[in-house]
Amino acid sequence: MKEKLILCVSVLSLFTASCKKDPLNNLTEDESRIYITNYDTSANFETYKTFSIADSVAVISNNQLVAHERSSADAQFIAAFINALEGRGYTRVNRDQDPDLGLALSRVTNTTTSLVSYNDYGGYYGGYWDPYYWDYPGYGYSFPTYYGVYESSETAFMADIFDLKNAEQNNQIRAVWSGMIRGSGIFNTTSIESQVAALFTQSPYLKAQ
Amino acid sequence: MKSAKYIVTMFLASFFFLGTNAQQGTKKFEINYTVGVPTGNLKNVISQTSWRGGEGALMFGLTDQLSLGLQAGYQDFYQKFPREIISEAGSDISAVITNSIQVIPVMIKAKYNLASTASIQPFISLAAGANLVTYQKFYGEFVDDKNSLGFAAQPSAGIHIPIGSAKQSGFHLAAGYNYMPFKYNDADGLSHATIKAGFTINLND
Repeated sequence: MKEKLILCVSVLSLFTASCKKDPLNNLTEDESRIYITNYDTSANFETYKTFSIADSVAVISNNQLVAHERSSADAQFIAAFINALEGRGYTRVNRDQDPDLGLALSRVTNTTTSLVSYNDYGGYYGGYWDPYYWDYPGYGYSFPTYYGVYESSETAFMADIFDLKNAEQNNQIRAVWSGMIRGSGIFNTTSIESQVAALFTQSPYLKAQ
Repeated sequence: MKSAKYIVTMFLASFFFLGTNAQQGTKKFEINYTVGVPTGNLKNVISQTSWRGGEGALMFGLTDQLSLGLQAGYQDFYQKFPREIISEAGSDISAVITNSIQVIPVMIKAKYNLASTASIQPFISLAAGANLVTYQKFYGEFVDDKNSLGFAAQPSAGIHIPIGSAKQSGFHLAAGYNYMPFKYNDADGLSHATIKAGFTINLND
């Protein structure tokens, strides 16, 4: 009877363990990405006519500015933002020509380190090594306290538009728009233009007229 | 029409076909493949039918008709939606949203066999117990998740077709309703209809 019961429970456990449809395995790179935009609701974007953009991208790692770089992907992002803003009626000018808006691009990388305990291994034996494999069906695992460390890192791309036109009057450089791209394949050069387009599609208010 | 009457007559007659399959004192394991059909508020989160589920129950025969036991199940609900823009004042997020919900009810189950000696045995059952819920809402690859332990109850009805000379094992087909209260984010209840097919193994042999 015991053998029959173990067999039945094992069959059921194996079946259910392999039964989950994993959302992450069912996403394309494009689907994995999210586009977040925020804007100052008091800003009237039609009052701005010109913009300037830096020719490099700020590299920010764990909240620290590391460098300014211009990789081929960075250059594509810069070009895509210029095209998008010009498409919305803004005119690109040099920094010394009193632009109404300033556009800054950043690569933001955050690395986190986490601790994981292996004490739960026995709870997941169905997915890894069933005690049946060692010829001890029905036995449970017992572990001393094992810990491991894993590190994960995520890079996002950010764009900020600042109000330079009213900086003196406001006594500050006020951000009026920000866009962020998170997910997989952000720096895949074949998709950079469509990623920037996605940020502007959800920002219809961002236009000169 | 004549053949339909014949089928109905044979079906009813099968309830009176006597065998030697006493249930009292037996120990049986029921194993089921289950299909989950979202109902009520669950349809607002996931409307797609789940074809990924299973269930097992260890049942002890108290009388020839009544058995009592422990049932554990699993159902995986999943649905991916086309990219959409979620807007709030001053903020917009564009994401492909995927909802993924797993329920693992572990319940005490009572089962009543309406014709324990027939060749086709209708039965009704009622189970109630705890429900382990894993709720995940993915915005692209970023997840908002919650695990919780709640309540679950499952009334069901079906038919059992005994096989073998002792007629202690057999196949069965049933339909039921999983009542599963749960509240988080946009989810307000995970109740769903369930259709199950499986077999019963006699553990007394």
